Amino acid sequence: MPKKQNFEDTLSELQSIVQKLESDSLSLDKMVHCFEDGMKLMKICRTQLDEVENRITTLVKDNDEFSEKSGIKQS
Amino acid sequence: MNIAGHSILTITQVANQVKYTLEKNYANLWIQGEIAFCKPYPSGHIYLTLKDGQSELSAVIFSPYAKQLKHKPVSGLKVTVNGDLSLYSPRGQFQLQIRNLYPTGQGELWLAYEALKEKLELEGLFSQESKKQIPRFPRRIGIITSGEGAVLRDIIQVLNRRAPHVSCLIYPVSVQGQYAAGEISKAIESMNQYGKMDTLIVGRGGGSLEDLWCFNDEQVVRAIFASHIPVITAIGHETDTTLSDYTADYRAPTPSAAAEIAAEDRQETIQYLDSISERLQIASKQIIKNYKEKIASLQNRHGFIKPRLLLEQWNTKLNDMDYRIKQSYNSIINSQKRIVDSLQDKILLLNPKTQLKRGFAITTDSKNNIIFSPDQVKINEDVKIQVSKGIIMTKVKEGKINNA
Repeated sequence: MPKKQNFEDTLSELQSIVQKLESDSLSLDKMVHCFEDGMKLMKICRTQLDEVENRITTLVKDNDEFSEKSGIKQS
Repeated sequence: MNIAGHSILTITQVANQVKYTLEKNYANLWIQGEIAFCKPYPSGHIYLTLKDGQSELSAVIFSPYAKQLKHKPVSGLKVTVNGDLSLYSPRGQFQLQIRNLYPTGQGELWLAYEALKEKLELEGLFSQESKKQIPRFPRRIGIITSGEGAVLRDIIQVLNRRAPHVSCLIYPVSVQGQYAAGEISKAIESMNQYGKMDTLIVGRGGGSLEDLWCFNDEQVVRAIFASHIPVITAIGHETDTTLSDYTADYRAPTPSAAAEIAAEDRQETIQYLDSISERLQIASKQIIKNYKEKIASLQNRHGFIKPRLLLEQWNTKLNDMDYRIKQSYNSIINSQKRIVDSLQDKILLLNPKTQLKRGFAITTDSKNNIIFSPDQVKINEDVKIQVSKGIIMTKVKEGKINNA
């Protein structure tokens, strides 16, 4: 989605952090950074999942202008 | 052979010439008729007799083609077939070698289908390399299908259950009839133009071959291929595969399956996040534990213990020296003490008072000078005689020096 950080990207970033941590070759400083970053990303992921949007809209085109009408509408 | 100006041919020569002529002039025919007789052989070949009101035609479907037939030939079926004429020399019978067989009415459709399929395949529209990944966690899904009917309902229902955080943008279209292909392809283009979607689902419920045919339309197929948004198709039943399905980034067997592919289950995702969270903590703790162990093992290393040992050694040495110093000091003191003691004895013996006690006396002049000889004093000079219990003041009467 525009602007908002993509859930998938966030999740894959999170996964790579976990893998990095599990690879066991981190300095203590880096470990702390990784852990903090991981918890931050985790929060972002959870927040995104909690945002129950479930909006159902229909795309309508009038004179080359797109607009969205809520619900299911017949064109 | 040549007799009276006529060239004489053998049977085989005639057969070969006819065969050659047939194969040259009657290749790739499309023929319509009814199957009068049909018999599959164990070899895999199928032998048929085709007929119309007036004529019959022998035909064979060789086993490689027989295996690929979409429709089984049966007696009485009106069919459109595609094949080449040839001659079966052993019997002198010409026959049609069939490559494709379709029930009549569908034959033309399939002919166009096969031709288009071949063309698009050559262009690479079906290639695996051009397939886009379907995002597992979309924010929004575009749905192109009929505005009414089970397909839309099924998709929304599954998404509601699995991924209530995903929103849907619907573009209602006709999914059958003469306008369907135009509407569907326009919908795909419009959705791409509008953007703001992660995935597109193009769907239609089951239907007859003709009903589904709009999804074999070149316009629709090309629109799917051109879509920047990944496309999932769910068209008809699992057994119907349209050219749209070949081109789509993912082909789902049913609309519900399409919705399942389109979005990961929210609960599963939350569980996955929980497991990641746990791994994150375990991994961090493990790293800290490893460092602690490293520190502990370093503490026990020789390098760390050595200074302590050295200190102990020096300490022992110092204690030893301390003892030795004290020892020698004491012995010196003791010997000095003994000297002092003996001196004291001597001094005690020499003490004048001791002598006085024994009856000796010390005589001094007025200036307290001890008098050792008579010539130190004059007659009538005052002198003091110190005895043990006091002093006697007297005057000198006479002096007499001892003769040594």
